[in-house]
Amino acid sequence: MLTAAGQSTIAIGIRALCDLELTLGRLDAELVPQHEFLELRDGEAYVAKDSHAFLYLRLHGPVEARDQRKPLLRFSIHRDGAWLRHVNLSIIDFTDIWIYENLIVFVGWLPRKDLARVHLRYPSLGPSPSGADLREIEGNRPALLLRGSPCYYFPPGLRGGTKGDNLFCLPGDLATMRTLA
Amino acid sequence: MDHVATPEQLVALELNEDDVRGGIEYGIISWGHTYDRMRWKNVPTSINRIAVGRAAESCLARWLRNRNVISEVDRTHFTQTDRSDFKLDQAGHVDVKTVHVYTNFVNPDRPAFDPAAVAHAESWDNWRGFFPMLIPKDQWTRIPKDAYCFAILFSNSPLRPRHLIFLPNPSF
Repeated sequence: MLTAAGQSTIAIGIRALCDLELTLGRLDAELVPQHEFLELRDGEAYVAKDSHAFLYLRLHGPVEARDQRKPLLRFSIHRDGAWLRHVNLSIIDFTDIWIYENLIVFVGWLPRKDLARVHLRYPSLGPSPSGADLREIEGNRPALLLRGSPCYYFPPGLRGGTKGDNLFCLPGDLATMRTLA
Repeated sequence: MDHVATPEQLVALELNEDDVRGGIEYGIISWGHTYDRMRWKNVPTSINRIAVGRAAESCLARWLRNRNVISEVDRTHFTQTDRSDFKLDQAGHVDVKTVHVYTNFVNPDRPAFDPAAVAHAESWDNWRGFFPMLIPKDQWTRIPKDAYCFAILFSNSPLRPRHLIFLPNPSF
């Protein structure tokens, strides 16, 4: 079978080497993302045929209790009946990208045409020579907050400050969130 | 139109499990197609940046829905770089700009978060009280949107020493 991208499909194999709960992320042959929750007993296997690409494996359950040296599962990719890749994975092969214990504060919003006017009120700002504070940059238009400028979110320090050049305004320039709703 | 003047006008919410999971999954499938402004070399960090943006949109959509405002979210075109997916009848295509304050890296000089300090921030004399609402210059010119909504997320960085997701290297 060919995928939507014109390639032959792959099969993704997982053999549990202990009792596992996990999610397999993959693109199917139509390039549609699939996220499959699996409960596998020690020794059980699962094969996702007709896949376009492997995306990720997510482990569920307590992480701290897992033995770092012990393989959790055997992972393999097959095309046309042949192994392309197979590897044993233990806990140290996994990386945590979850977002924990969060608070998000929506400050406000503004139409683009208003922002285009408002941001011109401000001078261009950049990092001071020490990088520890801000200084006004004369003659730089349009007004920008230049790379490396420290602010509350990106304080000075090792690789501190903003990561690029930005247009900016201040919270008081924004319309309240209630006006968006 | 009312402008932000008091801390009560800020809207503080928590991302829920669905917001985070949807953001992470979208980050994983789309990171290879997303314009990487910061040139992150670290794949989990890149995914986390995308996930934060998507999770913020999802959280905002829920807040709006609770006020009978329906937003349109289109997640199908994950291979198109920085496509705008969040749309409101009143505001049009809205870009939700979220800055991420890492809570697991302590900066002793940074004061604790105070909503009043944000609402009243009027100067740039001191970085500790400077809360710029940021739009990357290249994004402003390259991908114009109808409106911009600004948020601050307080959460861990993706460099936490725990392990949950296996990501393939390019040879997979």
